[in-house]
Amino acid sequence: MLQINNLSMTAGKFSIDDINLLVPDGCCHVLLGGTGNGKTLILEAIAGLRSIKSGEIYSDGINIEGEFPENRYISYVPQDLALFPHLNVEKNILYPKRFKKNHIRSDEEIREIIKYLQIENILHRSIKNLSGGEKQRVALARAFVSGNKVLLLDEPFSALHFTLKRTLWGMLTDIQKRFNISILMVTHDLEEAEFLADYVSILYKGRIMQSGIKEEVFENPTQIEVTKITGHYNYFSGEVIGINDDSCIVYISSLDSIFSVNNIAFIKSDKVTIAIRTNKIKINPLDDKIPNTIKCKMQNLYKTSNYNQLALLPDKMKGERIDEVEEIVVDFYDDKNLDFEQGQKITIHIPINDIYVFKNN
Amino acid sequence: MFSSKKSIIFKKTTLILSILTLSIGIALTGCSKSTATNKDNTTQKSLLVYAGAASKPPTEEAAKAFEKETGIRVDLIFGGSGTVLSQMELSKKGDLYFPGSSDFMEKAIQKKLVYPKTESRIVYLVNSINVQKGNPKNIHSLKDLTKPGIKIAIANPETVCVGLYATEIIDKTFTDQEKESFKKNLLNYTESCDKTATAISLKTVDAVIGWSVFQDWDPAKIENIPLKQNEIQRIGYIPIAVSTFSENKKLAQQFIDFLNSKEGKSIFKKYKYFATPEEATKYVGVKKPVGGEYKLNEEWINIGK
Amino acid sequence: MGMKKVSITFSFITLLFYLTLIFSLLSFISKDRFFEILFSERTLFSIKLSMTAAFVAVLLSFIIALPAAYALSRYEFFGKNFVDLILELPMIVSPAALGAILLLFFYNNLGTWIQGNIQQFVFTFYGIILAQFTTILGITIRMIKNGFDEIPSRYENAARTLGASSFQAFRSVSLPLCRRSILSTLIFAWAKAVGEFGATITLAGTMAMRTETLPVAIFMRLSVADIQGAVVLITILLAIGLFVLFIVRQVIGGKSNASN
Repeated sequence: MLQINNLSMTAGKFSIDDINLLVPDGCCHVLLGGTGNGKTLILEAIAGLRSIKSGEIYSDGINIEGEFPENRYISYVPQDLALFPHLNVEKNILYPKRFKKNHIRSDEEIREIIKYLQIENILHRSIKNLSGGEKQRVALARAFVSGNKVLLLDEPFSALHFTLKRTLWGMLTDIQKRFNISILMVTHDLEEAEFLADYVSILYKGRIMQSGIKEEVFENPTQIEVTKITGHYNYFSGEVIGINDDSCIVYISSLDSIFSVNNIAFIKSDKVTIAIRTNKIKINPLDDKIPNTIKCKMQNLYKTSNYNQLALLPDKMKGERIDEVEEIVVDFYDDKNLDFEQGQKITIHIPINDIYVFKNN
Repeated sequence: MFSSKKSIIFKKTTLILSILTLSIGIALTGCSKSTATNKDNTTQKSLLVYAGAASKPPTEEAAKAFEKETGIRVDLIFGGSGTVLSQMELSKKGDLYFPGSSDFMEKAIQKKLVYPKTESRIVYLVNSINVQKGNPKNIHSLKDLTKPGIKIAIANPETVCVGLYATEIIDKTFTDQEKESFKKNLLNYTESCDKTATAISLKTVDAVIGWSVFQDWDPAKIENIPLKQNEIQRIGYIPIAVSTFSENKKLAQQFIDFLNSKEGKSIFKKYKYFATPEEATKYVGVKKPVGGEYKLNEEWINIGK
Repeated sequence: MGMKKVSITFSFITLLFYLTLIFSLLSFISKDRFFEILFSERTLFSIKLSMTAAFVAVLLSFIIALPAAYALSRYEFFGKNFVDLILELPMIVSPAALGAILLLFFYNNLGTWIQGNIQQFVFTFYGIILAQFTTILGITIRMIKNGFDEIPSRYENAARTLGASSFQAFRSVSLPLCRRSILSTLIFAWAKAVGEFGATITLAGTMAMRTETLPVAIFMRLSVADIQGAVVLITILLAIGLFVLFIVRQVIGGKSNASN
C-alpha cells in the first residue's frame, strides 16, 4: 500500500500543493491530468528523486520520506523508460538482481514475467534496435524483476499505437494481479485510465481536484475542471432562478431556456455553469414537451467507427456560449443507421440526472 | 634504411607532398609575406644579432647605444646560446653570433657559421660558489658542499659552459670520496646559466657553482662564497664573431668594435662583468688560463643512474 | 563541389601539412646516428622515463578527475563556478610559467615544509610527475565532465529506483556509458603529458639518467646546436607517441564495436 499525505513541493516557478493519494495493495490508481500539471514531479518525489517541501510518504505503513531512492523499494518507469543503452535486453531486465538487498524474484518468477510480456525472443537484442512497444515491455519487465511492491508509471504507453496500447494494458493488468503490485500511474489518456484504473485522481495546476473510485469520479465530477479532463461536455452559463425540494431551476440565457437540475446546493441568483456530457444527450425524444429539451437544427454530422457526432445549432441561440462555440455537440452510438440532412430539425433531451451544475467562482 | 629505388620513390613523394604543402602555405600567407619584404627593402641599414639570453640586459643597452651613435638598427634575437645557433644555422640569416660562453663559439667555428678571425672577447667571468643571501647553510668553502643535507645544483655540463667549468673544479679539487659526497648532494642540472642563478634566488637549492656575476644579477637573494685560488681552474669569457651569413661584414665588425670601445666596455662593467682578463685575474689573485677546452668526464653524464 | 568534397579536401590538407613537416624532419636523419642514439642507454632511459612519468601523472589525475568531474557535472554546490574556472589555469599560463609557479610554491613555507618532510619534488622524478600532473589535471577534469554531461541523470535515477546506491549507480551506469569519452580523455592527457616540456624542465631539471625526459633531451640537443641529434629524438618521440595512440585507438575501437 502506498499512501501520500499532504505532499507539497516546488520546482522552479511551479508548485505542487497538498497532494493526498492512496494506492491500496494490488490496485491501480491513475493520476489524470493534462501535460504541465505536475504529474511527473509527484512521481519523482515519491520515488525519492526530487526533494519535497513537506508531506509524508508511507509505503506499507512506513514513512519513507527522506530515504534514498534505493531504500524505498519503489520502482519507477519514467516516460522515456531510461533503459540502459550499454546493456542488452536481458542485462537490463536482470539489472535489479545485482543488488542483494532487493526482494529479488526467483528465476521461475522472472521467467514468468518474461513470458507474460513476450520478450523471450528479444532477450539478446541491443536496446538501440528495439521498437517502441518492445522497449516498453522491457522497461516494465525490469521494474517487475526488482521485486518492489509499488510501481510508478509515467505516461507509459503514450507513444504507442492504440492497438498495441490495449495489448500492453492487458499484459500489465495480468502481471499486476499475479504479483499483487500497487501501481500509481500518471496519464492524460482517458481511455487508458478507464481501462486500468481502480482509483482515479484528477490533477489540475498542481492540485488534486477530485479523488476516488474510478466510476465515482467519472460519474460524479465535483468540479468543472474535472469534467474537462474526464470527458466531453457542452457547457452553458446560467443563473439559478428557483429552488425546489430536490432540484432547482436554472435559466440559460444563451438558449433562452429553463433547465431543471438535481443539485440543490445553491441559492437563488447564483451564477452557475451547466455541463452536459456529449454522449448523454437523447435525440428526438418521443415527447418533446417534457422539461430539458432544446429544439435545434442539424449543422453537421461526423461518423467514426465507434460513434457518430452531431453538431447542432439551437433555434433560440442568442449571444455566445461560454466556451465560444455556438454548436451543441452530441455523441451517439448509431445502431439504427440514422440519416440526417443539414438544416433538419432535431429536438434533444437531457435527462435531469445527466446535468452537472457548478457554481461559478 | 631504404633501397635506392624505394628511396627515389620516397623522395618523390616527399617532394610532391612538400610542394603541395608549400604552395598551400604560400597561397595562405602570400599577402602578408609580400608586405614583409617591402618593409625590409625600405628600411635602412640594420644588423641581426643572435645572442645568448644570459647577458641580455647589457647587450640590449649596448645595442641601443650603438644605434644612437651610428643610426644602424640592431635587431636582437635572444635564447639559449645553442638554440640561437641552431636558429641561425637553419634560417641562414644573421650578422653576428654572441653566445653566453666560449664553448659555443668553438661549435660555431667548427660548423663554419662564423669567421674565426673576427672572434673577439667582450667580457670575462670567474667561477664562484653562490648561496642564498645570509648563507643560511653556513657554506664557507668548496668542501662544505660535501656535507650531508646540502642541496646543490650546477648547470648542465653537457650544454652549459658554467656547468662544465664546475665539473672541472670538482674533478680537480676533490678526492674520490669527497666527489661521491658531492654527487649525493647534487640534485640536478639546470638548463641554462640564468636558471642556475634562479635556483638560488628561489631557494630551490642551497648552493650552486656559478659565476661571481650572479650575485650582481640578484643582490637581494644571492651571495657569493669565493673559491680559493687553487680551486679556480680557468677564466671564462663571452665572445662575439661575425656570422658567415652576414651580407654586411663591415657593419657587423663596426658593432664588435663598438663593444670593445670604452663606451661599450663601460656598459658591461656596469653589470659587474670583468672587462679585461687583467680585471678577472686581479679578482682571482693568480693568473689562470683564459678559456680553453676541458673534456667533460663521462661520469657526469651517468651520474643520474 | 559539394560540402563532402570540400570538407574531405580540408581534412587531407591537414594530413598533408603534418606529413610534410614529418618528411622534412627525416631529411636531416643519418641512419647510423639514428640507431646509435635510439639504442643508447640514455635514450632508452629517457623513453622509459617519459612513458612512466606520463602514465603515473595520468593515473593520479584520473583518480582526482573522475569524482571531481562527476561533481561538476551532476551537483550544484557553493564555489562550483570557481572550480570550473580554475580548470583552465594550466591552459592560460604557458608551460614554462606553470613550472615557475610550481617552483615558487616550493619557495614558500608550505612548499619548503613539504619538500623537507614529505617528498623532494624539485629536480627529482617526482617533479616530472608533478609538472605533468599539474598540466593535465584541469583539462582531464574538463573533458571527463563533458563526458558526464552527455549522459542524462535519468539513467542513474532509474538505477537508484531499481536498488542501486548512488555509488553503484555511478559504477554500473554512468561509468560504462562514459567509458569511451573517459578513455579518449586519458589518451589525450597521456599524449599531452608525454610531450610536456616547459613545466618539466623548469621544475625537474635536465640531468641525464635522472630527469631527462624525451622532450627535455630534445631541447638539450637543440641548445647545444646538435640539430641531427634533436631530429633523431623528435622522430623517436613522434613514432612512439603515434604508435601508442594508434594501438590504444585500435583496442578501444574494437571493443566498443563489439559491445554495440
